[in-house]
Amino acid sequence: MVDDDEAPLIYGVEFQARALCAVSGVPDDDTVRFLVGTQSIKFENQIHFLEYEEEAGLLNKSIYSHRAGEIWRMASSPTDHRRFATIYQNIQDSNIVSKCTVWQIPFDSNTEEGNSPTIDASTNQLHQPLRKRFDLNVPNTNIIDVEWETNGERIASISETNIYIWNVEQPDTPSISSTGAIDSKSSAIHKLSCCRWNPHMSTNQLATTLGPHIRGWDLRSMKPSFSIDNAHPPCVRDIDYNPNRQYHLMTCGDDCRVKFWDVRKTNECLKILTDHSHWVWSARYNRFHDQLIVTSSSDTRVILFNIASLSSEPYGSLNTSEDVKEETEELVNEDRLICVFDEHEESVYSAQWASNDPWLLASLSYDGRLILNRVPKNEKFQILLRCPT
Amino acid sequence: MDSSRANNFPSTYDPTNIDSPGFDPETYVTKLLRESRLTSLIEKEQLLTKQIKTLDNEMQTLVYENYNKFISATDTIRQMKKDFKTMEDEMKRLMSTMSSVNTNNDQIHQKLDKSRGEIRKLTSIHLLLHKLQYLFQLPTKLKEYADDNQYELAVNTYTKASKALQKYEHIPSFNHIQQSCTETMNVIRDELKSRFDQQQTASSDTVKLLLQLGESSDYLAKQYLHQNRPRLEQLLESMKQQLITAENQSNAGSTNPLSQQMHPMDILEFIDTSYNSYIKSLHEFVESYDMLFIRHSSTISSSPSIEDETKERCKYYLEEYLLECYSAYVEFIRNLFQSKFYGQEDETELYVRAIDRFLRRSSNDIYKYLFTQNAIEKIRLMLDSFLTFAIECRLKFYHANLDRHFHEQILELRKSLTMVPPATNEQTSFDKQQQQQPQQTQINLTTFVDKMLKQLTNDIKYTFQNLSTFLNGTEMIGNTGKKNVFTRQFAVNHVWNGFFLTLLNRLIAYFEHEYTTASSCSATVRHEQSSPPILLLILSKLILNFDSSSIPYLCTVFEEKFNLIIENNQRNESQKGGGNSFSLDRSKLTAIQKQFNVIAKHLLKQYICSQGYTLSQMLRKSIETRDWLNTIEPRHVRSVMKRIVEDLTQIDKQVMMLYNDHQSSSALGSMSSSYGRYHHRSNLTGSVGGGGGGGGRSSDGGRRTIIMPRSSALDRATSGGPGSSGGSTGNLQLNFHKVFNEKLDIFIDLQFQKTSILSSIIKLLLKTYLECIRLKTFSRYGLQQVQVDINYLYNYLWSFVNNDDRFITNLLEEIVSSTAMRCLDPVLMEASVITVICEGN
Repeated sequence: MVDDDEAPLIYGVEFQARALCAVSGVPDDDTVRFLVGTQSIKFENQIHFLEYEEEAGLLNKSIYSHRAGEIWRMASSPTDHRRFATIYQNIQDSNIVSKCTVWQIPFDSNTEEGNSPTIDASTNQLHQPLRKRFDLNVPNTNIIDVEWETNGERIASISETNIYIWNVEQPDTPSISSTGAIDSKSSAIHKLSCCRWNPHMSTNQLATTLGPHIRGWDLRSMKPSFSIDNAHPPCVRDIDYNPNRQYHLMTCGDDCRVKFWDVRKTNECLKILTDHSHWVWSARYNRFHDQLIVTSSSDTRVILFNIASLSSEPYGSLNTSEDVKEETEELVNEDRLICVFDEHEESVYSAQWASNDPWLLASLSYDGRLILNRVPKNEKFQILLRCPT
Repeated sequence: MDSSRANNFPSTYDPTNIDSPGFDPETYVTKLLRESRLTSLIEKEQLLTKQIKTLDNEMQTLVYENYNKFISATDTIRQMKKDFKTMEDEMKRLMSTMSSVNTNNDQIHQKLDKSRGEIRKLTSIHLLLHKLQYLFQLPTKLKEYADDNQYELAVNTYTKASKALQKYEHIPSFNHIQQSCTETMNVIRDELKSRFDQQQTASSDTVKLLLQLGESSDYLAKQYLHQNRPRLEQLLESMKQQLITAENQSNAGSTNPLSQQMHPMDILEFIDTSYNSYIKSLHEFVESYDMLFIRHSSTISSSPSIEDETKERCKYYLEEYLLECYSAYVEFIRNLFQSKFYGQEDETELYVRAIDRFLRRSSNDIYKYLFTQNAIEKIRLMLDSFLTFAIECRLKFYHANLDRHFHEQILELRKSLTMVPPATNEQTSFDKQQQQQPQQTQINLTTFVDKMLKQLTNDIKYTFQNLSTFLNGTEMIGNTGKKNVFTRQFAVNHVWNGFFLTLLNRLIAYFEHEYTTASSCSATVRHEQSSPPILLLILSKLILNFDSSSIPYLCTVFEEKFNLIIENNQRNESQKGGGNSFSLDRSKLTAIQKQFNVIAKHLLKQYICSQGYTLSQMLRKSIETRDWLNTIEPRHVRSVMKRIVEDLTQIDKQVMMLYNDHQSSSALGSMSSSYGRYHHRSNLTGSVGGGGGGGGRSSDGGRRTIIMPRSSALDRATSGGPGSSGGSTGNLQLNFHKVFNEKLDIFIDLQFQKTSILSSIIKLLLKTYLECIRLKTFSRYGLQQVQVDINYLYNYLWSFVNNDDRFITNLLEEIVSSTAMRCLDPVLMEASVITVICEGN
């Protein structure tokens, strides 16, 4: 029983893949869902919609074809679990064009395939196409990254030099509510590559990476609000806001490090993790217990950390009920590496927490291997015991 | 035996022998009758009768002679009796005359006795009168003395009289006298006291007088001690002043050569003089105190117990005082040893002798004046702690010295490194001038390391030597106990723990802090290393050499100097006591050595990272800035690749200078060995790739292999429909291939070898290449360009890692495969063309 729980669940996608996102947006449903997008130049790309059946330990898959191009990034809607946005590239006139579209998983197929999970990919070549909802494109610009606002009302997308905020409250009729651009001086050297909404401050802040730097934007004025220079030379790969501490954010990049920042004091970072031996491609806070952090790197490893010192959760001093527990907690309080998931053989470009299970995480390596891991039990119990709720 | 005795026996106790004592007449006769004939019997009878007759005659003459003698004896006795009677009569007469003499004598005595008694009475009365007169005169006399300031006389007379006065207190007139006397004496006492109190330096006379006047010795002793304090303090103060001036002089000495000539005393001399002036005067004072309060017996009549008590108290005060004085002095000496001028004394021998001298003198003197065990113990403790303090001062001094030297060296190294422009600096263009630089650096790098290592080792060795003089010079320091114990303690606590291990730890901390980012969990962001990579390389080698050669050498030096044996473990605990050489635990050292190793590895990693970073940056820019979709057919290897190979050659040379592989004695050997490996490798890829396009296609007889994408990758790229079985088997093959490839870990068992270092750098470089490729999309010519570049790299890279080029092949294949998969139109270039292009450059 314990072994079943602890053992990772491996799922293979037949193409190379970079894009992974956790699906949320179904209230009162604790099925864990993930979306994987493939990246293939030659073949028709696919979207794998995966549902994890916890009881059976099975992963139900539904495959949809994504004919628009190879998928680099994905973002799922926080309010509608069938909607998601992809960033995809295709070639037009021997130039790479990168676009963004919001898709919807067809209604009927969802129920049908949910009932018959044994559909074999080899027998049924033609997967159902996705239903396109709307494009989020600006003429003559390549969209690099896309991100939904946490309440689903707005979408941020970035090109190499600009930020576009789309208002999507009206279904299927997006409109650009505001745009911002980095100054020409820095745009000549570095490009924007990644954006994250700040879940705090009434979501009026967006953090973007600009080469080795990080720029924060105030969306009301579309002006830079903070900047961290040379956070990860030569390139920052990912940003994540602490879901509970509004000024804390975490970054990672090509200097093989993960750094923690307080945006009020950007000249020095709070902490550095140096456990990866190659570029760190993603770093994510657990939505429920922000001391849990998962990072993935092109050294093929996914690492789970417990950074209690920067967590919003109390430091154990609150419940002084049992002496024995307190002692163990004292030991536990240190920041530490919980475990290394080394089942991947290839560079892991993305690792994500499940949106509705605090202890489940998925990681996707370039060779198309998706692995679902769980937080080790003893760690889980320690966190639960300390948690006042 | 028995028979012989039986034969003998009858001869002596023969009853038949007439002369024998056991003669039996009857047996004799019967024998005669039985054995002899008649004639012989008759003869025998005649003989016998004749013999009997002669015997009778002899007997008669004997009896007669003896009778005569008896008669003369009785005559003499009678005569004696008569003489004794006359003597008795004369004795009786003597007795009677003696008794008459006695009676006469008695009579005379009785007559004279009366007059003698009268005479005695008269003389006593006379004396009494004299005394009374003296007493009556006393008040006026005392007043006179007091007026004349002859306090001594006054006190002496008063003390003489005071007893009598006390005795006759009850008589009114005497009482009056006593009162007036005490009045004057009080005046005197007050006068003396005020004088005593006012005096800056107490004279012992005054104190003596006051004591005689019965002033409380407690108060006096305290006051006396107290009053002497400023004098001693003044001495100390003047010495301190001297010290300060000496220090100032030494400070000014560097600027002003004139003052150098008035060279202040050296430390030994200083200690001598200070000791002479201070302790001697202290001891003089103690001597006088001793005379006053302890050795003299109090004149004031008091019970011996009280007297003893006060004496004890005085002793106590003295001891307290002495302790205070000594501690003040020791404090001063401490300052002296700590002072800039004297503490920095270069000559250890002088320093040691100074310590020795001080300890010897003080320990000799102190025991003279201290009484209780407690105080001696305290002083001893003080001296002991001083000794350790002095040693620690010295150790600190050495530490500072070594640190300074070391930092100077590192600064020098940095300077000389910046003077020689680093050949691998990232943005410098590669011109002829720099081609020659390696020659220069080539000589330098190893010499840098050797020089620094030598200097450091020598410094430590020299320090050991200096510290060992502590043992030679300090036979007397042994007040801690036996010399052996001190030696051991000194060697273990101070030299080993206090100096050597601390030094090593400091070095570790320094390196950790300065050069590694391992400790970068600290909150501040450390920006990219300011130290040039060569420095890191040199330092890592330095640490490694220091660890491997210097530490063992220094250990042997240490063992020799201090007669200790560094043991591997604790098992010799029991041996420690016995034997003339002591053992020391090595575990701490080994832990430190381990740390050294770790640090060296860290530095090396740092070096690899920074070099790999520089190269990767170059590569990355070249890939990112290029439009791979719209390139022309490749005709050349891209210049970046050449640049990278050139830089790697530089790095290779650098590293080679410091880290030689054991087997790479000659480039030739590695060349020949690599041929064999080539064949092996081509076989391997042939089998794994399933004989696809990758294998042993070669232009000139298998000497060189062309890196081609794995057939599986190519399959996927060229053939097959969407999501088909081809795709999935391709995936399978791809994964299958990976099973046999080790996972790439850049720093996995990094060794202190050139090959290992370079392969790590190359791994970093190629990994970057791979990741960058995966972010791009390629046209046919883009792919071919990558092919050319990769093969060019391959032709050179293997030479850097003569040991193990498998991982390079793997990575390069991976890169080409990835490129092929990211290619819109994957048409490979002919292997022969690749070869031509690569060689054409």
